[in-house]
Amino acid sequence: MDALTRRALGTVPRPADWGARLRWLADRHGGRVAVILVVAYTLYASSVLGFTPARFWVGLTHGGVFLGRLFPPDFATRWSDIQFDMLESVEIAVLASVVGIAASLPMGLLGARNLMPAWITWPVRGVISVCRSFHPVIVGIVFVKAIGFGPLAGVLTLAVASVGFIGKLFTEAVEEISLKQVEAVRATGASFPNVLIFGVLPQVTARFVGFSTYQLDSNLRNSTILGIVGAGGIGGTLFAAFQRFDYNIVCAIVVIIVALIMVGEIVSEQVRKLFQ
Amino acid sequence: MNPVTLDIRDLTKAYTRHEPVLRGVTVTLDSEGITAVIGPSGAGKSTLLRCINRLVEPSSGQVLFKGVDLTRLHGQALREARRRIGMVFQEFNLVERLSVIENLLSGRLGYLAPWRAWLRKFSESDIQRAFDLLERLGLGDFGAKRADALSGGQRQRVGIGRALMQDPELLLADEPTSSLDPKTSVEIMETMAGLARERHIPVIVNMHDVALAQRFADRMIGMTDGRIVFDGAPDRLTTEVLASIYGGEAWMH
Repeated sequence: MDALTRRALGTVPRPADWGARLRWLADRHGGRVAVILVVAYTLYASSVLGFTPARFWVGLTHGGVFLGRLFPPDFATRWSDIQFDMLESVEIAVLASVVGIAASLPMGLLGARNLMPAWITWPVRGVISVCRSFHPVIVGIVFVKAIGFGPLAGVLTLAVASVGFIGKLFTEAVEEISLKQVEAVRATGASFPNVLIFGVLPQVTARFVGFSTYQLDSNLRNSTILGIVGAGGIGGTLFAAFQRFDYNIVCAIVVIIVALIMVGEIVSEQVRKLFQ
Repeated sequence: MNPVTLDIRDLTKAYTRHEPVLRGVTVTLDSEGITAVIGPSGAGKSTLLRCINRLVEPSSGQVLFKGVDLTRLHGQALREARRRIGMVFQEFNLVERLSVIENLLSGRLGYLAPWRAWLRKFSESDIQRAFDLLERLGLGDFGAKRADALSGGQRQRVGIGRALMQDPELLLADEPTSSLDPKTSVEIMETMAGLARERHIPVIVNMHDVALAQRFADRMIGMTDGRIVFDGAPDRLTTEVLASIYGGEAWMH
């Protein structure tokens, strides 16, 4: 390295000055250091978790056996249980979506900083972000402990998740509307509710419907897992079948879940088209 | 004696302190005719209009509309005053995802309970008037179209229609032709001036196009730097006056 480059890069700080030395290191070699750290951590984590090629190979062999035992799917043996719990999952998902969507509409409007004063938006945004903070399974466990086993806990869990998702995205959608259109409606002497109905909602309805149908999709998916923590639906039966090694029944349930979710996606796609 | 339509007294507005946009505007407006406000960008024309219907809060001064000081009104009283004042915007400001007829009818929102607005239950006479007006504006076939499917000139016609649906006693137009081509601009001015004259509604219109303003206005007001520097008939607007409004003469040649 010639003298000029050395000067451009700055002199290496004295070894005693660790803060400066680290900063110098980050400035000069930041990218390389980051890569080295990530690689080192990955190696460390694999060794701790036993994530080795040999272990992976053993797992694959297991997997083959497991896959073989899944087939053929057995719809018949526990058909009435599967049917009942599947319907319960759908009911949980739909009910939770309706409650969650109904709650998200006012909350989304109240949380929008371009329409509401800070003393309203702050608490509302707080509630929405708390709803978003936890995975549905955790919220499910809390509700099961709080109000007991059964589908009610599942409904509340997914309603909370719906408020978290739709509430946040809807608030953002409202904050992006054209205020010129709102101003014009305001100029006609319209009351605040009328400004919302004619100036704000038309601008965000399509997006709100989009978020809602997406959430319905997501609630359908999540309603199939809540049974594992005792919050109702097909998850309980699925979990029980796993524990009894009834893999043919597991397979039947998985097939039905996949079919259900595909139907859900088709339905929500149609609803979205209706509101475009 | 009836009070004049509009009596603005020593109106000031500063968005940020020590940088007033309006520096004491005093002007009265009679019950009819078209008043064009011209002046360079930033002279405070838009702010002046918006201080009248309080889309912008004035800092001080009075705006007497038929004898009532609008600057002191709040809530319901302010909304009732607003619905007597129509406004037309530079960028039309239609609610784009609503139909043309809904946009026209939104001029009646000041008279509508929210549940009726939600269900679009406008009175039969309002709906009849909206369709008549649509016909008058030459948009008879466009009622069910979405507003964002219209051309600029058509949109501005809807904008004028919305303002007229209010049955206003005063019409404010903030550069209604600045987003339009020259030919459409003339047509829009003809439409607006014609309908306003026919209904005896006084109009205040901000304009950038001086020649177009002269062609339609009964009275011209020139603003510079937040003050009124000219107020008189369009034919009194000489080269010297224009130079004093816009600063310098070089741009005219």
